[in-house]
Amino acid sequence: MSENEPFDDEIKNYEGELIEFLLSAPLFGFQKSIYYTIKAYFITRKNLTQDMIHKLTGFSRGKISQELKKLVENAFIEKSKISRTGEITYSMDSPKKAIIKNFFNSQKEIFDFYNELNELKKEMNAEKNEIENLYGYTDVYELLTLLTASLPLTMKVIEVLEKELASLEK
Amino acid sequence: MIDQKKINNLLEIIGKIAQNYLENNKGGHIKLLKEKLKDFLTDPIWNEKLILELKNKINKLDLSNEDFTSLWNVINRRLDEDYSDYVERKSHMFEGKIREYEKRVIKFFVRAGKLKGQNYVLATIIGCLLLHKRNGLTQAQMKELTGLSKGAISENLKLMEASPILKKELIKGTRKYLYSLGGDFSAIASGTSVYKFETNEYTKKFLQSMIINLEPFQFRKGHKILLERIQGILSFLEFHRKIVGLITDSEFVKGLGRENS
Repeated sequence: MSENEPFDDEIKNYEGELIEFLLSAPLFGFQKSIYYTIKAYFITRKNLTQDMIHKLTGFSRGKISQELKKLVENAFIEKSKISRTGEITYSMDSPKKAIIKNFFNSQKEIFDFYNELNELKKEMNAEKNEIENLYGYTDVYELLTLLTASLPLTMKVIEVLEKELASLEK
Repeated sequence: MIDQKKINNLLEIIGKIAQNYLENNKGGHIKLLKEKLKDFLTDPIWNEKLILELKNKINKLDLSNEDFTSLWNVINRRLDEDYSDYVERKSHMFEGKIREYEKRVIKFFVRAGKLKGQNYVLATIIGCLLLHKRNGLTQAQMKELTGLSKGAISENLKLMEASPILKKELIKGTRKYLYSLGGDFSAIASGTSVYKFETNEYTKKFLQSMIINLEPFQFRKGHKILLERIQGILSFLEFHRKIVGLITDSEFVKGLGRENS
């Protein structure tokens, strides 16, 4: 049976339930958006063409094309086949790898925020004499200290995610 | 550029002030006068008419040093009481420049939350609750702090109520609820870990029950591939559990507990 064949209705119903779950469960870090809906369909289907996504989701072809481009750029999917008529099949090999990559990317971006948080803390330190008696100073400063102190842990998480991704690549 | 003539007029006044100051405050350093004068000219508080009225009234009392000290003690107490009342009434409103810092920290939560799939409102609420963990917040206070709509706040708090992290308490004698993230950072971190493990377990059960429900349809088109993909997600969940374990057992999270014990 080809992996590109359409699903029977009963299976499609379960797939719909799973897509809804993926988009709403906080654990996956997905959002209810066109980008994540398409990504979720790649998790359930593996191989999809633009036409198949259009039939499954009803999203416009233009929008689908834009989001597919982003998914390819972010290395979540790849072009796996081009038919004689020029139709492209996109593939997501491993759902595990895709979800881990999602986490990895977000952790890396959060890592960049640390510089900003450190800057913010430095500003507060520089103004300490004028602001330390203001109501709320301790609350903001304490939280900033905590966030900046969590940097080594974030780095450790990134390292573990990176290792896992590398082993999945192999 | 200020007209030189006008500057000369001002300098004439300054000269008289300096002369009076040095004569009336024998040994008074000119540096002190400079500081006081600059503060008087630049701080908007000195434009307050009531302050001048207060000064005139006190001057008319013609108090001795001793009487003034007792009066000042009374004023001092009143100011402290008013400040406590204000803080109690507006405990959710940080002061002056701290409000700006608060907004910048919340922006961080919104951006970081977006990366984790959280919506803007939810991430803003989490940021606010972390910053105001000492006193907690009511829905009305959250609205005042963030400018978000009452409906959006209420809807997202309902979502958070499903997690053990959010604490909701009825304020005595009112119909209002106080929301908080339940104690110190250690308690929040431990609540978050429990929640992540629970979510992982719930997701695992959801997927396992879907596999069972799919069994009768094993010869239908799509069954094989969907099953394989669900197994892939289950494999991710195992890895996710490891990551949550790594965070929970980290020195950083354990250190939070030690700081509070």
